[in-house]
Amino acid sequence: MKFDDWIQDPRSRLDIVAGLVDGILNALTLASAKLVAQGGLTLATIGKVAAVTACTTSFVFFVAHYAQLRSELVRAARELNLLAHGHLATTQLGKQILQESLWGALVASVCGVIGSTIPLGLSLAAPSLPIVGLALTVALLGLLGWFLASSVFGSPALWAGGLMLGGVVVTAIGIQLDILS
Amino acid sequence: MNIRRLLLDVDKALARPSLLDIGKAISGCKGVEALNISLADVDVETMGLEITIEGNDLDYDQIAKAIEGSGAVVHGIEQIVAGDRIIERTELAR
Repeated sequence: MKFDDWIQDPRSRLDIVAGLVDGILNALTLASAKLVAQGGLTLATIGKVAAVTACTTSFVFFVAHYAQLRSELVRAARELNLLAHGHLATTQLGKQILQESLWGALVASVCGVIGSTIPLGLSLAAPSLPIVGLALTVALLGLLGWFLASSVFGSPALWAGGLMLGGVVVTAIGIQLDILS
Repeated sequence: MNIRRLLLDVDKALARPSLLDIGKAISGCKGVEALNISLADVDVETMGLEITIEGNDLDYDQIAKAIEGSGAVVHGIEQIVAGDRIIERTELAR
């Protein structure tokens, strides 16, 4: 598949945008206390958050994709009147959905790492203005919510607003918990 | 028996495998020289296909295994043409 086709495929867009959102939310949850404490953020912290994001995002997206595609095969087997419902998973389709799930998890994981690095990188670049970094991150969440809405044919304003609100809430939780202290 | 043409009734799920995947799987079988995959009917979640395969000394078991390995299902054989040459169906005049 060509890059243009791949990026326009709604499933790819969902992996990319949801991965970025997941990364940003992970960073805000884990490190927002470090963000607001001036000078509390280091490159090592950014690396740790990125590593955690890569692990959780890849695992969650792989399981979600694989479970969804396996259930599609089971439904197809029922429609085709196959006696063994797991039959299609033993064919080439089984390998195909495994590859698709792994690829989706990899894309989401890479995007998650990028997403987690954005807010932390912004704050590291301007350590004296942590609020600006946080505000830009929440605004970015709103933008991603807008794109996510177009992928799932939802209301852009609702999705953008919901993600921005979620960003503010997880930031408050992250500051309260101060996980990385 | 030298099978020269097979007409198969095949079903598959709407989303996958693609017709290209099925075609590639059949092309890899012994003796296959040409094939035609035509859409016969579309249901809510499945589609029926008519697959015509021509060649020399076709191996039905291998072809059926290849089709099922790609994720489609062979429902039956609609026509077999075998022998030293291909003869078309002759309609009975009643």
